[in-house]
Amino acid sequence: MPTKFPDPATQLDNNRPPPSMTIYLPIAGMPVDPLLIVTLGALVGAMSGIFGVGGGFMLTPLLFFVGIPPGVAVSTQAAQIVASSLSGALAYWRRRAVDLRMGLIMLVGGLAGSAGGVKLYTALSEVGQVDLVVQLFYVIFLGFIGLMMFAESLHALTSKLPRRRKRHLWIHALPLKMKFRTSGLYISILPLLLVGMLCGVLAAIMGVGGGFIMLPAMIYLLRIPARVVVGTSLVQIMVVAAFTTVLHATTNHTVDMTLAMLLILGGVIGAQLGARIGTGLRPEYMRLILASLVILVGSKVAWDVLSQPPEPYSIDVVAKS
Amino acid sequence: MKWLVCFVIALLLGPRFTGPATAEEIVLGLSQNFVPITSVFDGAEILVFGALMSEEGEPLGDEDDVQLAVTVSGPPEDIVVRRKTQRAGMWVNTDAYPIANVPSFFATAETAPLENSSAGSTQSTHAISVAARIRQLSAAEDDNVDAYLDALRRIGVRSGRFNDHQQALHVIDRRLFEARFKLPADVVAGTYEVTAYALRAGSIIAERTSKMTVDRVGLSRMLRGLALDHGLVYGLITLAFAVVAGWLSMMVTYLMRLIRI
Repeated sequence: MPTKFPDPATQLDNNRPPPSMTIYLPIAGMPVDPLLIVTLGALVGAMSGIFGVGGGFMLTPLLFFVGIPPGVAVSTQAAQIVASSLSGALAYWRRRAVDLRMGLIMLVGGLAGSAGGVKLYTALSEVGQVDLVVQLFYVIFLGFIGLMMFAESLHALTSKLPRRRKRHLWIHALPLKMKFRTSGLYISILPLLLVGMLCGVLAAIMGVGGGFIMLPAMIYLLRIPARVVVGTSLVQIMVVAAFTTVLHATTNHTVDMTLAMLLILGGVIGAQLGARIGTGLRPEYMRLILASLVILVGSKVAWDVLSQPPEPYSIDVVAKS
Repeated sequence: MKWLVCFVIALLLGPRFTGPATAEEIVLGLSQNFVPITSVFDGAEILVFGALMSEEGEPLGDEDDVQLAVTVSGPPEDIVVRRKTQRAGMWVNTDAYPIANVPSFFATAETAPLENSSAGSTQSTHAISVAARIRQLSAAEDDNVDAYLDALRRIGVRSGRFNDHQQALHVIDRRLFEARFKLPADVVAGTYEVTAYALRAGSIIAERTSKMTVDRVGLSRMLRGLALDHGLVYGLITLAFAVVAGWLSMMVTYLMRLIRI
């Protein structure tokens, strides 16, 4: 007369497969839907395929939205940038469309900027001002670049007259000049170092590649020939992102390999798709769309900073007791 | 389930407990003493069960004046509660209040809501509700501190860190009690304390604590260990993966172009 007693253990949720597929991120300390992350990565990869510049500025806010801790999102994204810029960098390198000398100078600035940026990030975390600083960076840089790009592409689309190229004499007046044969320029290394450093800081704090700053700066400010701009900047972005990844991993321990793998997988797929889509549109239209996206994201962040948060309190875990 | 049956039989037929005078005591068990965080971890549910034994070793029946409660408390953390105020148009973290030894998880289950009982005095030494536990965190008597503690409670409840009356504590067959607790997906690894209390007229007459460990296993454990202890190697491996993936993507593009042409 053995009666089957109801076994509480089988009625617990543990031994059932979870209703939706999730993967646990060991560093972030939370599970995520892998399809969602791969899709986000694909979105960003597609953007880099279409526009030529990475959509890192969109990925970071999207990752925050999904619930990934900011530190993990920013650090892990650097790895994704390495993967997405590698193929482009190599392609331009093969075509000899990379000014190595210029790239190296900018790289020196970039590495210094990245190291400083990581330190700054750590210091800001301790006083709880990371979010604000990241948001301000976003608003300032995205706003500035977005508006500039928007104006420029509108001008390019509407104006029938050939664009007059003004000579920026003040750039030429700076000291410490070097010859850059590949670009055919003789300019001061100071603005190069500065641009590189700025991108390094952005990579470390915002988790972006920096291309959206670097390309306009190189084209408009430094007057570097368009032929070498994309290739040189891609090489620089890739190496700085690689450096940032390792630096974040060693100092903050916030790089999540599982998350990186998912993002990279999505990015690779997205880049393939994006390259197919991107060939059909006129570059001026693409720049207009990109500029609109940049302004949109920047405005959203500005709104978040300026509007009253629904919950003014927040909790930061400092350490295990 | 087999162990539960054996356990009950042992209680009913086994040796009598003869302890000191008022030796009502609780026997306590858990469905698992170890909760593994695997690669597909999405939270876990544990079952807490036991019985309140009288002096003579008999499980106490359904006595009206006895209430039972179970708390699950996670490893303590040091936290900072921050407050935003508006400065120059922007909402900025301007104030902070550090609190030490905040449980990373605290959930309770009772046979009857304890607020209704006169359990005030016991609640000051043993926290059997989220509110009481949070009150224990700071000795300061200050409206400002109260605001921070209240924020901690509010945010904790919303995030799943704190959970009151999560599930009712069921009494089975007038002798055994059981309660289920859900551990959230972003659970903190460490030692959890499960404590069962028996109260009569607001005073604790018996209590028993059992410990449970939550920890990462397998790949999750290895990756986290590598990231924390060998950050450089971990970073380089991640980088290597990124480089390989980028290179593979390039190969795929090349191959696809080759096929098309």
